[in-house]
Amino acid sequence: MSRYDKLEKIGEGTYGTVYKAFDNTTGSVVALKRVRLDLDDEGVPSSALREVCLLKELKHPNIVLIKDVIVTDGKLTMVFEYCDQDLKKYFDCHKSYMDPLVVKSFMHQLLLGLQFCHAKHIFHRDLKPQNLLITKKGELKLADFGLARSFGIPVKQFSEEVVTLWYRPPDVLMGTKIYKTSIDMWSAGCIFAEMAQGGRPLFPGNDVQEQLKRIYKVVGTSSEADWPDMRKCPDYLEFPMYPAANLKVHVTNLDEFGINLLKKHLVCNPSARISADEALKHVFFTGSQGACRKM
Amino acid sequence: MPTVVVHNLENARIILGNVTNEIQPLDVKDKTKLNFPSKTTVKPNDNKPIHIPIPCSNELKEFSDIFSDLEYNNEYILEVYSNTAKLEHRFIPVDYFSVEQHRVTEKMRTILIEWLVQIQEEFQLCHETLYKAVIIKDLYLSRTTDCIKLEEYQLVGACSLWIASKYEEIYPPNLANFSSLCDNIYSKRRFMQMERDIMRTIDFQLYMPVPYTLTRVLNKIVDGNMALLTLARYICELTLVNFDCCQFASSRVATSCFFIALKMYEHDWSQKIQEFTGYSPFSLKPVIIKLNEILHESFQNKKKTQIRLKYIHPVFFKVAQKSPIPTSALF
Repeated sequence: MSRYDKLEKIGEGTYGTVYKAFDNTTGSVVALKRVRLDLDDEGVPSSALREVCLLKELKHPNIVLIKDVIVTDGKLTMVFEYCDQDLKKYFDCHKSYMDPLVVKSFMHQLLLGLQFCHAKHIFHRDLKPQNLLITKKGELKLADFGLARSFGIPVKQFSEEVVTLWYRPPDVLMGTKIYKTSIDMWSAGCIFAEMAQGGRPLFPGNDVQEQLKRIYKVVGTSSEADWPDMRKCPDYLEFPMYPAANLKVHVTNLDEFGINLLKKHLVCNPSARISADEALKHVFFTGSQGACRKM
Repeated sequence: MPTVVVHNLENARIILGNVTNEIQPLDVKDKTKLNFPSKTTVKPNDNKPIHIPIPCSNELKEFSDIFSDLEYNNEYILEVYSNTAKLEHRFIPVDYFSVEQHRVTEKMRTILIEWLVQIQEEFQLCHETLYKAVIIKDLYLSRTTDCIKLEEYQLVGACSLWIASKYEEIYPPNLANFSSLCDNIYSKRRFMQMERDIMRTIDFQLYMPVPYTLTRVLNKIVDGNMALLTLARYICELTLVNFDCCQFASSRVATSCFFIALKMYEHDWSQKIQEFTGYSPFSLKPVIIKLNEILHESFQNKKKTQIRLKYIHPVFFKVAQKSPIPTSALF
């Protein structure tokens, strides 16, 4: 008898198929991510290789737990703790509204997970609601590290084709190849706004040009004064000088501290963008109104 | 990155082609016949305890300023360093030559690594990939319960480099490339079996610190030029072919390389490096002595090794031609 009984297919990851399964040894429900190895002649795909190696180093309450890895002739199976749904599905279930305290708690947990990754010199590179898992207890966990990289100190040049367009920072949209933890912090800001808006994405662009235009129309077109290296981006694009809009108009469901924190995430200059460490110390979480409710 | 042409790769493909099980001594005593240079004895204790720096807030501020330009992850620099230093002990292989892998000799290990250096140049792979491949290979050989057949020793090396490339490179060479590097003597199926075996044996631990990465940081701290950095890296790379050096933690190796490189360029030891790494020259003495010895050996050796040839090239500031200084003048 095999150890795991497949219950149902949950979805398709960036590579491989994910199943809900029953672990006969521990009597618990797990998620199995199966990658077929016999499809081409390249052995273990590099995304699967990186995901396993990095997740093995990332044991944290806000990062999905990898319990085991099984390699057989034909396939590689990663065994994960089971989480009930992802943030995208959570939005759908909650009919476009999220309690501000839940938003605060989710954002806090997202930042804790990122802080842990970044201090281990690992960045996720593909944060989006589909990659954040939510448990019944209201815990949020970072998942799908298929595009994640560990950077040496400092960061080497990586390929720019990462991060779903909507959550990409301007520097990456304009072809910057050397980037750092700041890439995840931009994505976290976009997700923060999306949660506050009950699942309405902040910058749903269709192509790079439109994506940048949407960003600038909200945060204002960058000037060289606040982003000196702007023109050094390989695919630099010139835009009309849009003034910064009032974020409160675009994100209605956040208090003033929340808006202030969001602004610090949505800074075009990657060097001036807030870090996870700093964000966790922000008054939005620490102020008298800010105590994070234990879910 | 300028291309470094490797001329003799073709001849080197079947690197261990003339080595067979019959002629290889299974007897440990035979190792002495190969006439290795005398070694500095490395006591395991020299390496412990691994120093883990605990940054205080003032230091953090100072180092953040150094790394505040675009290329560097200034916010987490010290934290990343201390987190990685905690892992170093995991990647130190045990001496596998005498028991587990008695068919393999240190000389064969040297040949294999020189071959990996050639491939790294030919495919222009990152140096991190090369360092990781060497660690993967040594860890596998020291942990596997199989006694590797000599005809498969090259496969272990090629496969380790293949795995390291997949983890480290943006565009890793494909399996066909690695297979042809071995003159197609191993089937693709065998490559994939070996990949799985290696990954299982090293328990998917590819998140490993290598000294090369740290040299870049240390050079930034002393605001050194490329020649200084390249010299430190040359010494660093020489440690790859010396199995004794695998017993040193990677941060100790990197810092010691810098110590020697600074002296060779007539600079003083950097107090800032000492603060950052937590190592004083005194605490590194056994490592520095060993590394300087290797540097002298390489310099005096008439037969130029692959690594030496690489660093004699003008691209690498001909650092391999720079005369080393006597150990007595180092301290």
